[in-house]
Amino acid sequence: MASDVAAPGTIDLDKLSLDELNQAKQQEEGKLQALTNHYAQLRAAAARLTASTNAISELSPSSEGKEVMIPLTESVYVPGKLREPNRLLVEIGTGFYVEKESSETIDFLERKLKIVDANSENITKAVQATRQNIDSVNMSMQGKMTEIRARQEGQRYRAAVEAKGK
Amino acid sequence: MSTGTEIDEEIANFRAVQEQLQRIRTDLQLVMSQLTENEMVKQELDLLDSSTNIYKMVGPVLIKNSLEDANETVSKRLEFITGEKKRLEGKAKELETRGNAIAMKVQQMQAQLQQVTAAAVQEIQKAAATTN
Repeated sequence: MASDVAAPGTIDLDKLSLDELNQAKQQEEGKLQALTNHYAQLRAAAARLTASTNAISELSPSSEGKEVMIPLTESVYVPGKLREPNRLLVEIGTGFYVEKESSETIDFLERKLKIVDANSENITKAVQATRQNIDSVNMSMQGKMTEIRARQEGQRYRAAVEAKGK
Repeated sequence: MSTGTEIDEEIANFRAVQEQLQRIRTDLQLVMSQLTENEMVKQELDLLDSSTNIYKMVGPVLIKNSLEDANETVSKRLEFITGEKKRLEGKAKELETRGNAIAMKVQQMQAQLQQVTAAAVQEIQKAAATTN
């Protein structure tokens, strides 16, 4: 997942043409978009994990036998009693569910959260690097444009002088 | 001698290769995410002891699985995914080299065309100068 956080290949921007710079800019912007999406996904995953952790902490051992309403659909519920609130079924990924105790589940969730946080950090770094790349490409483009404009200005001036000379 | 249409043809070839490469890369990304997910499941399974109840979701129901079965399923998946990854990586590399070769060829053809055009222009200018 973190494999796309590769060190950007160093290119001498000043040697590129305006077209090539534009291409580089588009490429980097595409990358930034992808990274931002990825980051949002990771944050959503982190939120889900935290929600699960919170839900478990609500489910104290003393809630044994407590009356709850169980959702059949989003709008229809049946009453039920909590039995063994310490035995949970946890999805560990790819359709596998494992029976775990509350404390084990919290450990599991913390493990996952750590992975997600580490990935988020990597992505944040990559986002920063990509933003920097875009900035330098923009600067180079501006420089190139000023250069081109200056050259055109010079040519016009020279043409005017020559016209006068005739 | 290479003409404009020949260059256009090569450029079209290049585009086709690039498109294919893009598709392979998307597939590869999917396979990579599957690989990480399955690896994470494997890590979790490794932490369990054989007395743990494990269920596998099949459609809407959860079917009971033994740890052994679960381990086997995940191992098999990992094997398949790794193979798939290798295949896609090989394909991507092949397409890359092919794309680069075409790009080089196009560059050469364009340079050649430019030379020929420049020579022709000079020829015309010379002719124009002598008639003047």
